[in-house]
Amino acid sequence: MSPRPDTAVAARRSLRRPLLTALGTAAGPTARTVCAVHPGALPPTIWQDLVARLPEDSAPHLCDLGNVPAYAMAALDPTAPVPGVRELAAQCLAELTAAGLTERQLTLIGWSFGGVVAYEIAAQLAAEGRGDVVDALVVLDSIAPVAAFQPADDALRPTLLLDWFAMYLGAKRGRRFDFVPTDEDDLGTLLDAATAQGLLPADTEEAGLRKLFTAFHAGLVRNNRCTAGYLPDPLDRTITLVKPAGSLLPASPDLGWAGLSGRPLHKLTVPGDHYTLLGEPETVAALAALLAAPPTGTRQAD
Amino acid sequence: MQRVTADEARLWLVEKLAVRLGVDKEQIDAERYFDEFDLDSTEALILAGELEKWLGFELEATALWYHPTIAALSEHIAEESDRHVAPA
Repeated sequence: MSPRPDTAVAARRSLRRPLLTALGTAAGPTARTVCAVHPGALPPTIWQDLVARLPEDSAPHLCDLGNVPAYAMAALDPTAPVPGVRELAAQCLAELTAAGLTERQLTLIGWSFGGVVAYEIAAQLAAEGRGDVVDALVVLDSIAPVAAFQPADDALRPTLLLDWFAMYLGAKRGRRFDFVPTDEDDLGTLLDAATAQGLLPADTEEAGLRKLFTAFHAGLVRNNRCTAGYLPDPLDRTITLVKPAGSLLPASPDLGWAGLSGRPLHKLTVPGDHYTLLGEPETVAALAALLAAPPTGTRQAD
Repeated sequence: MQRVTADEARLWLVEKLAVRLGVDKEQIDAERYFDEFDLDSTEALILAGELEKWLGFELEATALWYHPTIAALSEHIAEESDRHVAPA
């Protein structure tokens, strides 16, 4: 084997992608930071429609967990050490604090696993006595870190996985994928449907799709590993759950979040599915309205 | 299983990328990062799966991370191919 000069390349690539980035500047005097917590899987550009609709006094920022080298590597190598939710949140919070973004009102909005990390950022701020800085905590189809939703990796049912993968593939290809798997379906039938509907080139081989599916599954397993053993105490704050019609868990009304707040859960039902919700104009409009007047954060309603 | 040289791997990758991107082979820069081509990660992974089928062995999941260009990956593939193909 030759030496691995490309290790340096890999390190350089991760260095050029910071965890925290500004997604623009506030159009007017900045009153607060809106921080989106992004878990990878889809490109961070999925936030751009929402960012364009934010109130003028908001400075949008992105914490892209995919740029945490250990988090990215853990999806490639199932034996690699994985950063836990607390560690990821601490890294985000350290960057937000260093950038001075916790010195004004902070809205935390996390998609999917990013919602779990957003919750922990709020928890760490609360533990430091700075909980009031968070004016809203919004989770987008995130599955709450509660005991009921900490299944073993092998508990992900094949049909459920195929359903999620079909949603993911549709989002990645930028079009609706009409495929509701049954127990009889497998990657082969999914590939047939995807090529018939024009999502993938007709000559796509199943070996190719299987590689994509394996990577998709590895990302889910990685996030489960990050969350394993993370069972936080409830926070005394309002949590807003945004749940799309095509949620990861349509049968669960609260995705477990009701157990993580002493306050009633604020719930917003929107169109789209787990992977397309931020591209749905109606959802973006609803989120923009929500962020313009977020529900009471840590203070009790009068 | 045939031994694959770096040149053969490079040719395969250039041809496949050119087809997927709808450009001439001459326009594919082997020193460019894969993620800088106009190829989304879905297409890149599907291509990787098709590559493994052609090679007859799996690449480690970190291969594209450590070898992020056609040139680097082709060299790596040749090394891996040598390991997988028993000496005559």
